[in-house]
Amino acid sequence: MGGLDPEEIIKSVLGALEDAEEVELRNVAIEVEEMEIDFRTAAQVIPMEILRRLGERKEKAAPEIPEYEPPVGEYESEIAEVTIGATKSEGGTRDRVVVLGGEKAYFPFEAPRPNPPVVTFDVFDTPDVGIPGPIRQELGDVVEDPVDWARAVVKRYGVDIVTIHLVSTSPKMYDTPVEEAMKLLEDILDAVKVPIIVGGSGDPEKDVEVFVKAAEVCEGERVMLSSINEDMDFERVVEAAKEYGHVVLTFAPIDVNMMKSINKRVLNRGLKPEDVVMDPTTCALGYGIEYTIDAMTRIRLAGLQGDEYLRMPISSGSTNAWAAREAWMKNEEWGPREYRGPLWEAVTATTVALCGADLLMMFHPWAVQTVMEAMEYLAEGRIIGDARVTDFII
Amino acid sequence: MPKVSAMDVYKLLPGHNCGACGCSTCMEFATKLVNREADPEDCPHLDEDSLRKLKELISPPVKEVRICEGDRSVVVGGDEVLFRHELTFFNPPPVFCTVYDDMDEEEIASKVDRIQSFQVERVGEVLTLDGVAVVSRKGDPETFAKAVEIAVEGSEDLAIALVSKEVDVLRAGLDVFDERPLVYPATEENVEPLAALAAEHDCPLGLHADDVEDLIPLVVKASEHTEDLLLDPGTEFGPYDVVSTTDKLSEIRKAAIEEEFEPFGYPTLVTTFPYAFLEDDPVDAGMRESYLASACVLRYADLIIMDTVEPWALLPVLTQRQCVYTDPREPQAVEPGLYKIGNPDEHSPVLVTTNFKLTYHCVAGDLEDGGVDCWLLVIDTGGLAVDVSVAGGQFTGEAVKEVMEETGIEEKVAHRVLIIPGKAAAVKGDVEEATGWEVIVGTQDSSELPEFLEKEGLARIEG
Repeated sequence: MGGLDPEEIIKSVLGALEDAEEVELRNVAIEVEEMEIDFRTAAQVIPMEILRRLGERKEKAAPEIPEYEPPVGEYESEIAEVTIGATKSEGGTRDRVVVLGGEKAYFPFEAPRPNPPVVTFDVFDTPDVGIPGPIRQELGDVVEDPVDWARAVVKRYGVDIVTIHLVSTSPKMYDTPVEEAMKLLEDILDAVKVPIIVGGSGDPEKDVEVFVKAAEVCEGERVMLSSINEDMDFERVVEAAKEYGHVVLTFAPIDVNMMKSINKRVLNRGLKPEDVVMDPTTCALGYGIEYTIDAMTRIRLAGLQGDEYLRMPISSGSTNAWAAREAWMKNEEWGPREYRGPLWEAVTATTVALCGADLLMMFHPWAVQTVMEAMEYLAEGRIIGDARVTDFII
Repeated sequence: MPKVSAMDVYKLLPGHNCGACGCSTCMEFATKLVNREADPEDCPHLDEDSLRKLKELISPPVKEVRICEGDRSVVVGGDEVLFRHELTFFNPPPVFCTVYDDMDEEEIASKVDRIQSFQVERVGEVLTLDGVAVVSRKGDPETFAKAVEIAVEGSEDLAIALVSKEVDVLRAGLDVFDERPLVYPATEENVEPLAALAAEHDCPLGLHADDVEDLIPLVVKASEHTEDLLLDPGTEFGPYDVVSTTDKLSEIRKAAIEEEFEPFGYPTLVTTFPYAFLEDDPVDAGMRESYLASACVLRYADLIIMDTVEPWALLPVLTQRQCVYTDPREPQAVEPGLYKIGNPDEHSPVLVTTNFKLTYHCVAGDLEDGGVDCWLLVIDTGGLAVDVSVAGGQFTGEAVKEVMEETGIEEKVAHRVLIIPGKAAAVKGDVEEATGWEVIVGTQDSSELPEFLEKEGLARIEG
């Protein structure tokens, strides 16, 4: 403060303090031979405190702790909430519904997720889909009958929603007639009371027939039809979903613009964001998961920034983890596949969930249970537990 | 995108376009500097002051910290974006594994040997471990020093971390090894003496607190002594481990990058090794460590200390690291074209695959391991895998035809048979139509190919 009249400074400071109740001075050093302070309206405690602190500063400048506010972002929009399933009061026969989406921010510390990501157990209408050894071993004989399989996963693992993949309807597989597939669908709706996702076979023509009929058969149950893409006559599926009140899953191969394009067409045909879930493709850990990480992150950020065509919940076929040979192949160098496989699926699912996925299609019991348990905390928020690393170090 | 623009950097450059840095113009050099592909020292015309300004301008919001010297050296931190698609992540997080000073000397030596010799090959890259963390469990300086000695002697290129809360114990460790080992954990109770010790030995220091905000006073106190810090906001253990730990790391990183909150501008540190003590069954412990560490690799962990050295537990973590730290600016593709496997001739089979780097390496590796002689026709799918490019429309008959014409395969073989991947079965007809060749659908996984070729009589095809 050299060059200025100290007395003037003190006077102006005290003048400014007339209405203050408390004053903290930071990084201030005042060097004077003699100081006289004229107490006027400021309470006596204030200058005393100033003097005390000045004295401390002279002895040793204690480092200052900067103020901190958690970096909570401002987002323009919220992710739509999509409900799958309908209870009796809603015109269906399910004993619960699942709600996906509703996020208000990207990271949990900014705002916990209103609805934690949901795990759906995959059930296939035929065991001949190359079920990996470690999974077959865990599930046992139930894989021979899809109805038993669905019942078992709800009962044993407590999942809130089941996906029945009607893969055998593919002309490249058994070309199971639509009517037969519908019979199975009805049996499953009877056997389990949780909401249902109806999966197709990936055949662009047959799937349209399967979904259109399934929409009718499942009237009132608000199932999700999984999935539609721009290479099929998806408009018919959208119309059926609208008519019978179902949800559709839109699919695009890890491409944000393609994801947006199909969603735009689906929404323009009259479905609402609350009726649509999107699948931007899940690549397995080690087999392109970084592309999925980027696509999902960009989609979620765009949705939160108000992109009308991307503000829907995200679904992930985390079962794709088993496409990685590290998950299923016997290899002594890698250790037992009984441990590798479930880890591979759990890590794949959790990675995409942290990037924004709201629905995780999975099928190894350990992975399902581990991930289900973990995901709850995306809604609950951060927990500081009792066990600390320092307890194990002297 | 990076916060600093190439124009801001250009303003600090001499503008001679002399080419001494290897770039034809100063603007090109500026762009490379912004993308972290060049070193400011490459410009010979900068005086000390300009060089300092330039380095300040382009220094990342997360400081880079070097642990150890020479062959043992690892660099952590250095990130400048929150999401990898915005640029790329730098410095893949090293994985350290623990030894404890209450183990038998032979046990320590044998575990150090497993850490040092661990290697798994993936996609033409050898995945290894990076360091050994010597953890004090007895609090006795002499015992700790002995463990450090065994760890250092038993390893060649592993970085070293000295883990104890006691200054005397750490000092004993530093007497044995003082080539910049990581010293950890500095907590509220011991931060002053540990920071002084780290500064005295010029070592990086790991700070530990129970939550994000509690780290701030530790950083302030420690940085009076040293700027080489790592931040551990307290790894969580239990069903909430993944969400809580990644949430803390995300908060720290977002504050550092978007708010430029300086106390958080350091690399982070995560410890999963306590699971070895918390779980009764070593398999449960390994599963939990693996799951947690893999998630933390996605979310801003810059260094991880694990207990397990089981390959099944480490493989997911190291694979996740390989994926997340791949530079998205470089396509993960090999050159499309015709590749020879073994010694193919005019009767050898022609196999088709995509130019996704991983797909190519898997297929080529499996065929080589199986002793197959064949032609591998790699089509341009823009670096996408088989299933994805079939779904996305890059794997088409046209794409196959194009590479066949470019490589002149029809002059190299006497037959007209193509073998496409099992996952490309849906485009069989399309490929047949576009090329006019007979198309055979191969196996779902390339590991089954050698047996398939033999069994189907396709190893030699008479024209």
